[in-house]
Amino acid sequence: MYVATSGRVVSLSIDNAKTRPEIASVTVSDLAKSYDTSLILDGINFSVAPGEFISVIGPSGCGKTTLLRILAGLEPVSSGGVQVQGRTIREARAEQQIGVAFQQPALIPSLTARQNVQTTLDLCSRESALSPAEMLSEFGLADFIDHYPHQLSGGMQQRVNIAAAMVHQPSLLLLDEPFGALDEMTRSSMCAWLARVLAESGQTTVLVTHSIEEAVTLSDKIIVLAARPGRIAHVIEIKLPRPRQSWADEAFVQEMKRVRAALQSVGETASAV
Amino acid sequence: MSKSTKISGAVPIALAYGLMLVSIPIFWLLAVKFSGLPPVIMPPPAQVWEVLVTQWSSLWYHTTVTIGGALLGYGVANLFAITLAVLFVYSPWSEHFVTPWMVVIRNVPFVTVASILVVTLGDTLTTKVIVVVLVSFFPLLANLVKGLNSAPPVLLDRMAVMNASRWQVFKRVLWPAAMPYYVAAHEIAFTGSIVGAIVAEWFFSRKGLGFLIVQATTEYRADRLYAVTLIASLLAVGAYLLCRLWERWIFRWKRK
Repeated sequence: MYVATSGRVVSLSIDNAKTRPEIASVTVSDLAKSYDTSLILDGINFSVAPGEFISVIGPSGCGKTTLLRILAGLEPVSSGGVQVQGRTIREARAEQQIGVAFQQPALIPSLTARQNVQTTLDLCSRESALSPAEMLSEFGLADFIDHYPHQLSGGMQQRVNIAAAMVHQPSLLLLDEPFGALDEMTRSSMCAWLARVLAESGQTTVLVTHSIEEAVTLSDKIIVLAARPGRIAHVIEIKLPRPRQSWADEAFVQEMKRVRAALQSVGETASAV
Repeated sequence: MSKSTKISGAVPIALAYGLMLVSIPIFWLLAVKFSGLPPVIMPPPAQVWEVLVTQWSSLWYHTTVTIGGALLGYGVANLFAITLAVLFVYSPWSEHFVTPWMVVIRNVPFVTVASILVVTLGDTLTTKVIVVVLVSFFPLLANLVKGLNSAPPVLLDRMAVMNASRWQVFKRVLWPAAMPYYVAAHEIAFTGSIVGAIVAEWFFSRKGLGFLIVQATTEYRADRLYAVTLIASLLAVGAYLLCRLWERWIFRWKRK
């Protein structure tokens, strides 16, 4: 998949990811966030290498979503800082270098799938070599380009949502439990689909999830947060070859057990899927 | 949704209005026959029809006066409502300052406001327009504020991440979110503006359907009174149906 950006032709394939200058590195240093007197996040330090996929997992209320909202520039930090490719979040946002997909698809109901994706480009000063229709076709929605969100299934809506978050080729893609509202089968197939899409794009991605399977399938690194206040308890590297198989693969199951044990150590009771 | 389902949605509505149109003269004739009231109090449909035909040019002139006042007042009401709603959404503190004025204006007895307007401005278009604005402005404002505030937070977040300007957020998220509320307000306020114009004319004017009502009443011309009532009813139903058609057009994507 080749994409021309501002006159340059840049490959989205992972082999050529290094040639793509837009792919971001993220550095989070000494980040703390509090609301009034309650401390939500404390002493958060981590970095994401260009093209790396990081998952953030942890018990409910550990501040996962707050962390993602901070990375998106939707919440200010109380102290510490976040840098995307050496820029502040505010600067990265002003340059429209961030794409976000939330659990609830952020689609305008009166616009078709194509128009919803086009909206991202309309808001952007950049050009995209892939038209919304081409992007949606790449995402397996060729027959649904001119459908309205209410005509699409939950999984399809989420694909459009992710297409709208990615079409302008942001440096950093943030995913906040994008498959959280889907049924288990759809969730599993969406996860495999996202792994394929991101393997092609080499996109720097941070995913917030409750699902161990999702995290192990997609991530290079999993950050396990402990709650009250949210702080990093474990960082687990996943070195399985890609594409990753799920339950049938013993190594995959072992990694899931490792993440589950880490979660249990911080009091998480979430399911394995 | 299949084509047949779409048609079947419109058929009952047309049937219901058709039935009403047929029923009115039937009930009317029955009322004339069984009430025993003389034609000077309850004229039969034929007599009213004769008034409509013979005095059509005069009736049409007064109807256009009413429509003109209602439309002008309604336009002004929309302008005010949209401006204030946008102001409230973008500077919530302004709502605190404007609301007390709204409460006072809304709750002062209508007749006193109308009387003060007549004394101050006389029988002018401005007076009528102010009365129409007072009648139709509040439902428009209330619904618009509610609608603009109903924009899904997730869409606002998406716009914020894309560094969208205020105008882009308004055009792409806030206004579309307000549309269902705005359209619903029109169904009440647009018909209300016609009623408002007629009431204003009834109260102080020398022209318009409201004036014709006063004239017909003082001259004991029940047939004219009924003719004016018919025209006013048709206007109100027409305004309502226009709103419904507009709503169908605005939300045509929902029927896909």
